[in-house]
Amino acid sequence: MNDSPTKQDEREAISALAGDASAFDAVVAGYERRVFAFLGRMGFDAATAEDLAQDTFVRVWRHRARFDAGRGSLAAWVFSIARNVALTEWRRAGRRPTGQAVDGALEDVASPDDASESLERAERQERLRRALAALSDADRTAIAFSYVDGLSAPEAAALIGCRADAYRTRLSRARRRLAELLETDA
Amino acid sequence: MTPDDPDRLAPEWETLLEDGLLEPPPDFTARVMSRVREEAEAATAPTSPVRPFAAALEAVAVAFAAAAAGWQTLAFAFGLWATTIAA
Repeated sequence: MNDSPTKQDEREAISALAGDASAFDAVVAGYERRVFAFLGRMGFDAATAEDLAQDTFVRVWRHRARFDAGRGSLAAWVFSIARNVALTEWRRAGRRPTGQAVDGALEDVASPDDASESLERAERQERLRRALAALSDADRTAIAFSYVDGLSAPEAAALIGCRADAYRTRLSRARRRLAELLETDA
Repeated sequence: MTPDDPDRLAPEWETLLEDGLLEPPPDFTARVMSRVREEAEAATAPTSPVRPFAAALEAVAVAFAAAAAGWQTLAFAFGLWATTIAA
């Protein structure tokens, strides 16, 4: 990620969370890219991810009084909500892969070379999304958390509900499984 | 994830996972803020205003109606009694 959050970003987001509705856009702006990226790694397509990201931020706003900076970082709290929203949607949708990455891949391309590259990237994204969708909820969540900037491994382990060493084992197993799925879908 | 991690995926997959596959649309913050403002306004919307004068008038009207109804009932009972005595 290019926009790694800093302690200063975190402090600003926490003070924005304590403010009124007009200050809340600082929280959204600070987390929207990471929440979208997380939902993408959870195997959702763009349209579903947007709905889920909106639900995540509305819940963050609605339950902001419950956030306690003494018990964990704001990132951990936001991603615990994003994870609950994502897993609820996975269960509601009955584990259907939702990717339509190839649709629209050729919009806004300048040349045939660009078009070919865009299509190739969209196909890779689609393969990755299918492979992520084929993982168990626990494995997919472990992988999705492992790439979130600002979320430490102990925090990810706590969110998943296991110890840090168990999280590392689960993550290692999940990545091997993902590699197998990507190979078999080649 | 370090570059020499044995569980590291092929570079094209690592890049996609690091990029996150999806990006928010440009107006995403505005859309969320629109929903948040709706929630905030709903939470602070005034409930039905308290109207003490109207409430007092209602109470007086009910009391008068109850007294009138009681008086009518007593008059009817007295009428029956008087008729019975006269007969």
